[in-house]
Amino acid sequence: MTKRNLVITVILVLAATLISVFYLRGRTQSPRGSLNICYEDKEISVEPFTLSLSEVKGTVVNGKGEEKEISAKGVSVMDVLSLAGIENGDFAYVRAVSSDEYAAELLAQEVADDGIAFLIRDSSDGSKKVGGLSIRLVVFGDSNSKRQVKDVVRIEVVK
Amino acid sequence: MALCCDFGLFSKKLVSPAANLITDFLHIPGGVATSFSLMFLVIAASLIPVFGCAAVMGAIQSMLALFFGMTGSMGILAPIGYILPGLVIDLIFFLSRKITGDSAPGIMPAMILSSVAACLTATIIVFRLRGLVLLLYVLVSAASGSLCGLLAVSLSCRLKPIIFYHSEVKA
Repeated sequence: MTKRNLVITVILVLAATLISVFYLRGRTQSPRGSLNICYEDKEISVEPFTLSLSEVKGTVVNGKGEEKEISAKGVSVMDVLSLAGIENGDFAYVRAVSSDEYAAELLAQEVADDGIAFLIRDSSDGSKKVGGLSIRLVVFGDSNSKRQVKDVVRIEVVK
Repeated sequence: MALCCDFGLFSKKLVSPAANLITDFLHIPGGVATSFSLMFLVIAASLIPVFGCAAVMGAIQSMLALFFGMTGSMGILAPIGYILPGLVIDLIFFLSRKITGDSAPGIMPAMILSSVAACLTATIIVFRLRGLVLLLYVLVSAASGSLCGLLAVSLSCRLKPIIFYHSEVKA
């Protein structure tokens, strides 16, 4: 039984290694401080923080009901989409995807409205990306922190 | 059972930093720490021949997780993520006992399938992964489940004589 268990383990580890090689090789890595916008089968790389930054201030609430003050420089998601030539009305919703593939959806109305969805520089995980250039999605008005996405690497625009 | 419940819940927090090194490198949302945490449920369920014991432990873990605010990204739906793998463990041990008359042969399949069940539950509730990344997530969960399975087999074999000795002495 032990031998059979060992064989199963080795097979599964090898299969996971093989698939991880395929996955990591096929993965498009955005440069630090930039993200990819996927729109109509195209992938456009943009640098959100080359736009003029505005003050992002407000309060977000996590799942436990604890409030956290946000005060940072950032840009609205709509402004970032406009860098890729996408206008309001071109899409139904967008998905902000992090490096570990966690994703949050934002409706077109939420993206278009002022004061709801922003991208800010995240210094909290500076260890991951030198200079704290990782990008964080902040969504105001939610009752939990599910859409506060850390290390955003891609925005998928869906019609 | 109570001890394994607590071990399972809090060991996840302990091994998460090390597990995150692997999952961050692979760009997947987890799977390794969950398998380690499920190992304690599998050990307890392999020693207690009662159907539903893993599901009960999962339910207690989910209540503790809700109470301590350790629900992660699942939030209020966390009980599903704890109870479903427990049900899978119970089902595997039920079949193992029915077919072979012993729970030991079920330890490895219970570990692998409960890890996969946990990762698929997280995918459905939170991550909505697709394609290659989903396949990798499932395979990493299964592989870490099988590695923890080796440990669970060994621990269960060592604990079984001690637990049965004490229950015989009490009787």
